[in-house]
Amino acid sequence: MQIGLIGCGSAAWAQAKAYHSLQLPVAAAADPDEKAAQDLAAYLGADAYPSLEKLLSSTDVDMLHICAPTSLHAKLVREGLEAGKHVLCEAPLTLDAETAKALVDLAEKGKRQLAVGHVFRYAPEYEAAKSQLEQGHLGSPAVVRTSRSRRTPIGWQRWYQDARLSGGVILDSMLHDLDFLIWCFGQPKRILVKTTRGRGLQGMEHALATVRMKNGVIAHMEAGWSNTSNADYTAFEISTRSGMISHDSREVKGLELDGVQNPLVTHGPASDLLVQNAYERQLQDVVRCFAANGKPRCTGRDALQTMQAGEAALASVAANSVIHLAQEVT
Amino acid sequence: MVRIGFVSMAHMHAFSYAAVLQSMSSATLTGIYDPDSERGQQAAEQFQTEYHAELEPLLERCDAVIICSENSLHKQYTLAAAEVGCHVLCEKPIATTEEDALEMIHACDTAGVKLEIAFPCRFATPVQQAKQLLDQGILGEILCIKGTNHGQMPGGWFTDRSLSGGGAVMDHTVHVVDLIRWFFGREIKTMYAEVDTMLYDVDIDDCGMLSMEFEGGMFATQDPSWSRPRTFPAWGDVLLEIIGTKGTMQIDAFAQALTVYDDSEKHVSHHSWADNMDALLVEHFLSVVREDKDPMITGYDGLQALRAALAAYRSSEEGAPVPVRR
Repeated sequence: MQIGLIGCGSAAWAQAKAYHSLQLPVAAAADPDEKAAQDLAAYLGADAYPSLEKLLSSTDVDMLHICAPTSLHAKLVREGLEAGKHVLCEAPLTLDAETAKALVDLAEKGKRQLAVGHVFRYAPEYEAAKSQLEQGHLGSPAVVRTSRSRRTPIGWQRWYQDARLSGGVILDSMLHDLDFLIWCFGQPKRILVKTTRGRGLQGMEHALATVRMKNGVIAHMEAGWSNTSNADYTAFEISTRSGMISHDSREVKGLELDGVQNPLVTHGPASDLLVQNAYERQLQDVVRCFAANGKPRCTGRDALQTMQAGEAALASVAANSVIHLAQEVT
Repeated sequence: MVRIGFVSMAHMHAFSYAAVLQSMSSATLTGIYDPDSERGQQAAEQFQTEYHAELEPLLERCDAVIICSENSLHKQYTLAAAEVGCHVLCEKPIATTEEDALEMIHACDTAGVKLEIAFPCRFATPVQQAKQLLDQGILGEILCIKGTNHGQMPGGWFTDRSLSGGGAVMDHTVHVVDLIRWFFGREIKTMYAEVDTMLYDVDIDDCGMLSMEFEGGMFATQDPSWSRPRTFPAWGDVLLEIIGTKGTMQIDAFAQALTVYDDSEKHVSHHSWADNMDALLVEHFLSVVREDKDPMITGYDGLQALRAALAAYRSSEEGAPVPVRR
């Protein structure tokens, strides 16, 4: 499987490290910022291109991995699928469900695979929680709380800060928890979200959501872009009829340093205290599925469901009220 | 010496308040009235005071009473106390209906007796210090608040609607709402809530999720669920995360506790070493009575917290945000 990486900014670097440690062959990397493309390509031993178009006309990759800003996803995924490539696109797939649906349809029509990087489906702590629930000994789930915070992302020309281009903290961060809820419990029925966007937090944003799932589960989601000292964490708590599962990455201290620093010891949701972290697990699975026509954990169709819920979350903010989700888009 | 009587020991907080009173030199525990004679007699024995099978004889001998009955009985006991000039410290929620709460406030006003509502979390030292810092405006403009007041399912009369007026939402909405109102002096404008029974086989709500909009554009969520399992090491929690334009604050009113692993009981539990918030509340109430001061936590505070809980039930039924009266 020959791989082309599209977009060589900060999101791509996180992936590049995973490709590197998995020794997966990345043949080409493209970015309109030639220096960015060359730096990443050099790290991976790949060829650098200034655009997807140039990459496609000069190489014969089997799979594209889209790591560009969200607002460019739809165009790049479409071009990749039309060129007959399998596509892994970073989350969120798009900024609205209709566009997501068009991409899913296109992939299915062309018999190409489309996977979306809802990477927490590969994070062992989330995976373990889902598996505990499925074993049944804790009884049916009732109340779920999720929290997620990261340092305020900047990105190329500060695109994250333009909610029309990024969807703000809701599509950047909260969508991962929405995806986790959908993965575990099925579709949401209704959602109410409030956010501090536009209220003077200077780039930071904090959003709180109340969700009712169709299976009855009541959920609360918290997502933040913050610049405080403890900005990077994920947490969840799942109360069931016979118990509770809880996780808080801030309490997971497998290896700590004090007085000295080393880049190997990091703190944050994608814990590196694993032989393979979530990014690596995801890449390995997606590449394997693309090669063998298997089903990755988050297909385009899965991401479409999540996008539909994400769109409802944005609509709730815009309407300042509760949004009842329509029937699933099919 | 302030003479204090207990009106019903139905609510477990009564035992904590009584223990506090017993150790105080500025007050005497005059007696305990309880319609449940077994419970009343046992408590009287435990706290070395008199048991009263009738309310009036006890009221006649008291300056003030602490009412820890089932929620729906708060009104009748408060009215009885006010009528004979006894001051009242009433367990939360103030009542189970707005009408009852208003009647209680009116009766105490008319009789010229103090009515204070027991929201002891205001007296937790971390909460007191948070209030001081917030009054200094250290967080800038407050944008949003995430609150939880989880608990274990208390059982007993708490799951009998005619006595409690509601389940988890009635039980656990009022503390957090009271703290936010007290911190910022703002009222709730709209309430949205999901309320359901999903954790236990009880005929009353045991979980919920509230989303509120306050005056001035601030919003808050609050989780009042009885979602702490039997194996949880504590009864529950009171947590607040406050996001302002200049920074954020986390408050954990019950953080100061040891973790005790007890093989003999096969149980892990938290053992508090914090200042006793119940004692600080009772001391404050005694000073209100002694010095003829205004209560810090008024009947109106109790009413507004109750209105929030009632609005949550209304919102859940309507499936939409509802206005909260003031």
